[in-house]
Amino acid sequence: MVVHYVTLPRIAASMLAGAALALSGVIFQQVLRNPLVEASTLGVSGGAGLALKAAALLFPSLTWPPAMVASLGAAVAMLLTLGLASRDVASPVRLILAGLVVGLFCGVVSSVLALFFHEQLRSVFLWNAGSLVNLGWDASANIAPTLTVCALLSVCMIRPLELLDLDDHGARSLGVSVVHVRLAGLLLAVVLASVTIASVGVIGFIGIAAPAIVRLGGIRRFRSRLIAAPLLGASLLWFADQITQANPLFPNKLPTGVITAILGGPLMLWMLQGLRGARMGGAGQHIGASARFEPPRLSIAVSACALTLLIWTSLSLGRNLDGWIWHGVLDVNAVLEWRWPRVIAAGLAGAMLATAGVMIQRVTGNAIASPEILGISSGAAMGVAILFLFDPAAAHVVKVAAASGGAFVVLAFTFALMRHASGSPERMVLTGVALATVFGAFLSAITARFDPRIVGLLSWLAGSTYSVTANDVVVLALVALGLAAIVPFTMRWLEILPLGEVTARELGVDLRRSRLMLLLISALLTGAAVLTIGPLSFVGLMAPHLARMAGFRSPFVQLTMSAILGAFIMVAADWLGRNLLFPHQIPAGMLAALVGTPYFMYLMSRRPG
Amino acid sequence: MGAAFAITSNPLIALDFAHAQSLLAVGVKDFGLAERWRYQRLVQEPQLPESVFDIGTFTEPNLELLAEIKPLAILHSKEWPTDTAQLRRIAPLVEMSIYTGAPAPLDRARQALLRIAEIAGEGRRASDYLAGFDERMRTFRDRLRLFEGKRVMVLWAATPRDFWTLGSASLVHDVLDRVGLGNAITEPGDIWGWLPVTMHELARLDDVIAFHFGPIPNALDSNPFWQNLGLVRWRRLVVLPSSWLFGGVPEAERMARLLTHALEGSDHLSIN
Repeated sequence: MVVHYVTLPRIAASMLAGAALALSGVIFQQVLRNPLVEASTLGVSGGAGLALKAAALLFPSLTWPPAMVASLGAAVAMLLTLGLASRDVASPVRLILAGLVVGLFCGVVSSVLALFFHEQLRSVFLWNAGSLVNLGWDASANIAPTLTVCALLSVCMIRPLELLDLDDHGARSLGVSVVHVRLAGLLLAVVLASVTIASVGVIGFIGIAAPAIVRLGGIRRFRSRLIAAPLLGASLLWFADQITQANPLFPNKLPTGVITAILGGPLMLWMLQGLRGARMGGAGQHIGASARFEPPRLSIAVSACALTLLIWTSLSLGRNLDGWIWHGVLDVNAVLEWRWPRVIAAGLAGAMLATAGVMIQRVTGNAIASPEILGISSGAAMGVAILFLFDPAAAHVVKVAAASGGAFVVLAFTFALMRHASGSPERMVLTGVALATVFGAFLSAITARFDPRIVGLLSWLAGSTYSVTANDVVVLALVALGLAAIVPFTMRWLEILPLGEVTARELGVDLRRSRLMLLLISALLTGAAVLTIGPLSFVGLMAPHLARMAGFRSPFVQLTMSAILGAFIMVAADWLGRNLLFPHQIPAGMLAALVGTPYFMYLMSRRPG
Repeated sequence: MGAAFAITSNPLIALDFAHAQSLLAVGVKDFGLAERWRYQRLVQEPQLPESVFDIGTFTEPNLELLAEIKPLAILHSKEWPTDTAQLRRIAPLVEMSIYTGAPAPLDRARQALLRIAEIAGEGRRASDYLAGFDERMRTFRDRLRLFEGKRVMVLWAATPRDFWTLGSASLVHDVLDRVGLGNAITEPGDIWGWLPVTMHELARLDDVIAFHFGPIPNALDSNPFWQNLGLVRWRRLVVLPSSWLFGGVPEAERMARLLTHALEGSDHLSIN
């Protein structure tokens, strides 16, 4: 009976899910011309997870099957991703970045839910980590029909999909409606992935690994890949699941989704090495030359004043059990000594992340790059998460060390990447994406553990200024000032690099050296800031972009304005976080991301570049 | 969130629900508690009076608030980590950990209760309470004479796919011991005593009585494997009211009481 009800279903589910995910991956990659897209890198899994959590909380009496709820969420997320990248569908990098932003946003909202409703969402968190334990035949019953239908449909579409190998012009001249084929393919892939994810949970990387290995094995033609990849995917996931069950290392059995992340993550990173001249699409949002018109310098002075005003208010106005109360900053009062380190740290961290963001965007020539996307914050977060596995109650200093270690590893890896090839910026962006996704899987696994202590980890990851002491602020300020002193010397690089490699070389800029220096500075800025307020604030993405859109384009002006904006956002987020739900505190970084991300998505969808 | 009452000068602060239970057991009604709303959701008894006020979350008790009210002491535990570095600057910290993964958490819970009562100046009431507790446990054991030595276990279907049980590091293990029953699960489990149970293992544990705290998930009604399990088929699964299971001495008493009531009135169980 056990074999019939437990063992066989599990084997069947793992193979069907593997095949479905691989098929979905092949189609995604063909349509989007990028070997690295799949459900988890396009925001689809994030949307599905968020839909389930929201449904569990807001509509607990809903009787819709989870597969349907998840598919709905996945579809919405995919639409959002497509919408964000709509102006530039030809650019796969743009699409992946859109998917990442959507995925991260879903992650942020999920974190908020996790922070306050942990126990009730336990089943969803377990699902989120991709566990195949105790599955009945339901999962297979859900996946099998969908897989069959989608497989048949994709076979019907083999010809048009194959023609997508040509560039758009070529395909069109052969009578293929590129847009329609693409949309149909995407729909197919999304539905396939959603149903699978809804049934067995988030299992990433099969959609990347299977097609990649197949291609490495010499199978080039699309139609061959279409058949080979699902078969390989089925075996891969079955194999991963066997490892999960036979794993003697962990007392709480690791979900299969974590195994695929641990195995698939490095694979993906390795694949990035071999990504030679892949058509990464156009420039995405090119920064280009500085605009001729600039708002008067007065605006900067005004903004600086506004920031000062905000800081003063944040220090003086707050809540206690009796309601709102205003303490004069110059009066001696009990709360000031607790408030000022947090406020100043938030402001400094915001400014530092914004500065790093400006630099990264100019080095890569892509306005969507940022410290978060480069993977440095993911590295820091991963360091802390690993530490958590061994010692959940570690002291703050130890956590800081772990975060530095993680950030440094990513940094070293990024530099190795840069020195190896010609240091393609797109490659680095994709590396960051890969890391963020791997880390996401890891984090889901930790969240699934039946342990209330993860809340501490979650709140740091969300960007809480709680543990900041006066000493931390001093260190942060020193780092900031030290790096700020170097920044003026890089102005020339910041001016020239966005103009493109050729122009830069012609103007005598040593590409490798300048990029290295700028990235080093950015990484240090990011590391220090992230250790203070966590990795998820999106400030490094928002502030530079906002500054640029307000017309501040030349390096010095953009840097200054971004720093001010970044500080403004974080101080406001910190103040709101401390007072909205008194005595509970919403982490500042989380609040910034909650507000900033939708705004950013709106901006992203509006401007063509 | 205005305080409708005046906060006692120098109140105690509890950063652990078990300590909150101990405080209530010895008659202290006005203290600060972290995640008050979570206590009300998770813990059934003792109920929180209005005079217990919220001070933030476990990991981030509101520092400004605490600095203003100047607590007498902050009671915390290792199993609920908090930022001791910051808190130390406000009030003396008293650490009492009950769930450490080592056996006999009930003893540690008793020690904690005595120590808390001492700090609160209610030492006498604590000894009275513990004496009453021992008396009541003896009564429960008496009433369960028929089940003396019977093998039992705690089962929890967290989701229709995910089953857990409690081992020797858990409070319930001690409770079972005190009322004369034997926990079929002898491994310690994690620091709380939790152990995952696979379907294979469940199929093998045919001859034990299983206690399930809280309602069984609806989805299991139509699950053929579940319906075919020896436990379910022979009605050896006893469903008890939801309980938190990880508190202090009052929680132990609640569990013993629920177990006793259920087993006493259980003529539908096939006992052999």
